[in-house]
Amino acid sequence: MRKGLVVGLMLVFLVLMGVLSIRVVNKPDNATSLRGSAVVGVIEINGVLGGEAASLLTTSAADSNRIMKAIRTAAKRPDVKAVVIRINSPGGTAVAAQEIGIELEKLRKTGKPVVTSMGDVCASGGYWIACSSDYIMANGTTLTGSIGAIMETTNLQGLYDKLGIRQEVFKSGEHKDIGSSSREITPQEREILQAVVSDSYTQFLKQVKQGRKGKIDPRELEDIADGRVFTGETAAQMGLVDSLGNYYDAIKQAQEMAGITEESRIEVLNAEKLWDSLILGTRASRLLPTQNLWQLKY
Amino acid sequence: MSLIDTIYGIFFDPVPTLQYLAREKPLLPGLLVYLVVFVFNLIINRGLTTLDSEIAGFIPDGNFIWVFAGLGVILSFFILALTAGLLSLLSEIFYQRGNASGLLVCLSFAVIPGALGPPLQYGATLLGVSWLGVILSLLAVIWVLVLQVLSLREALELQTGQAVLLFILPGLLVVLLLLGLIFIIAQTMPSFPG
Repeated sequence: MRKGLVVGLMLVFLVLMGVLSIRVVNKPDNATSLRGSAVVGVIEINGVLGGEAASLLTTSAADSNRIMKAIRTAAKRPDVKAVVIRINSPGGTAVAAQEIGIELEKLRKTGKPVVTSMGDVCASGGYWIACSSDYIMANGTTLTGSIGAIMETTNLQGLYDKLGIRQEVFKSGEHKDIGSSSREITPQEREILQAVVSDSYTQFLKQVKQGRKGKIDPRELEDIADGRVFTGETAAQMGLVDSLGNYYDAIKQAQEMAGITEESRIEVLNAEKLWDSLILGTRASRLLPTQNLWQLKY
Repeated sequence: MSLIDTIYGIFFDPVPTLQYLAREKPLLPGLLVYLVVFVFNLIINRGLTTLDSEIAGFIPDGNFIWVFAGLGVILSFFILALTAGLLSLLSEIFYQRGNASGLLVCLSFAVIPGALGPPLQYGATLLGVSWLGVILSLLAVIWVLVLQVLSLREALELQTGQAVLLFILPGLLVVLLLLGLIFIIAQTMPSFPG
C-alpha cells in the first residue's frame, strides 16, 4: 500500500511535469507568465509564399494560413506589445502576399507597431508584405525589391506531338482553357493574360506607394519598379527600406516603437508545434505536385 | 515482485532489488521501463530547451528533432546492450564471472531515478531557481551512476572495488588508447628546427 502510494505520487509528479512541458513546447507563451509581462512577437516568413505548408517531402514554403493565424494571435494577445516580421522569402503567389498584407494592416490598426526584419532575401511578394509594416530594416547584403508580377506557362505542344499525345478539351467558353500547355497561346489570350499581370502589377505598385508614402518619390518608384533587385544598402538609399540592421536591431526598434521599458520577452508566434513535428513526413501526398501549371506570382 | 515493488525497490532498497533483477532477468519490463524513461526525458528536455531559450518557440532544426529522437531511441538500446555485453565480457576476462542478460536488466532499471532529474530541473526553472534544478539534475545523474555500479556488483557478484574498477575500465581504456595514439603521432611527426 505504502509502496503503491509513493510510486503513484512520483508518477503523478512526472506526468504533471510532462504535461507542462508538452504545453510549453506546443504553446511557448505558457512559459512566459513567470517572466516579463511584455512580449515582442516574432512571425517568421521563410521560403516561397503559398497557401500550403511544407513537409519533409517538399521544398520550404511559407504557409499564408499559418502566418495569418499568427498575426491574428498577435492582435488578440494583450501581452504582445509589438511584432517583428522576419522575412526570408523570394516571394510566391500573389494572393498569399496580399492576404498576409491585409492581416498586417489590421494588426497595425490595433496600435501595435509592426517592424520588418529582412533576412537573406525579401523580394517580390516578400517586399509586398514588408510594405504593410511600420518600419523596414534590412541587412546591407539582403536582396530585396523585385517589384512586379509574373505569370508563366510552358508550351509542351512540341513534346506532346513527339509522344503522340493529343489533349481533347471540352469547354464552355472560348477562353476556358486559357494558358493550356498543349497548344500555342493566341494573341487574344496573350492580351487577356497580360492585362491580368498588368493589373496585378498596378496593385503591387499601389501597395508600395501606400506603404512607403513620404519615404520614396512615386515617380522614382515607377522607374525602379521593373522587377530588378537591390541590395539592402541600395534599397535604404532609395527609400525602399528605412534603415540597416540585423534581427536584434529590428527587435530593439520594435521595443522602442512600442515604448516597452520593462523586461520583455521575444516569442516566435508561428513556431512549430510538438505534434506538427511528430507527424512531419507522414504526408506522402505531398510528393505529388499540387500546384496548377500556371499561377500569378509576385 | 511486481513492477511497483521493483520501482520502489530501486529507489529505497536497491541492493536486494538488483539481486532479484539479476537473478530473475525480467527483460521485457526492463526494456520497457528504459524506453519510457528515455522518451519521458526527451519530452521534458525539449520543454526545458523552449523554456531556457532566449526566444521562446525558436528551436533550431525543429523539423528534424523527432527524427533524431527516434534514431536516439534505437541508438540508446544499442548502447545499453553493448555496455551490458562489454562489461560482462570484461568481468569474465578479469574476474571469471559473467551475467550479460542479468546486467542488461539491472542497467535498464538503474535509469529510473534519472527520470526525476529533468522534471525537477524543469520545476525549478519554472519557479525561477534554475540553479537548484541543475544541482538536483546532477544528483539524479550521480544516483544513476551509483545504481549502475551496484548493478555491476550484484549482477556479476563482484566486490564494490571490483565493480567500480570494471565500471571505469572502458573509459580508462579509451583514454589510454587516445594517449597512445597521440604519443605515436607525436613520435612520427617530423620535428621542426627551432
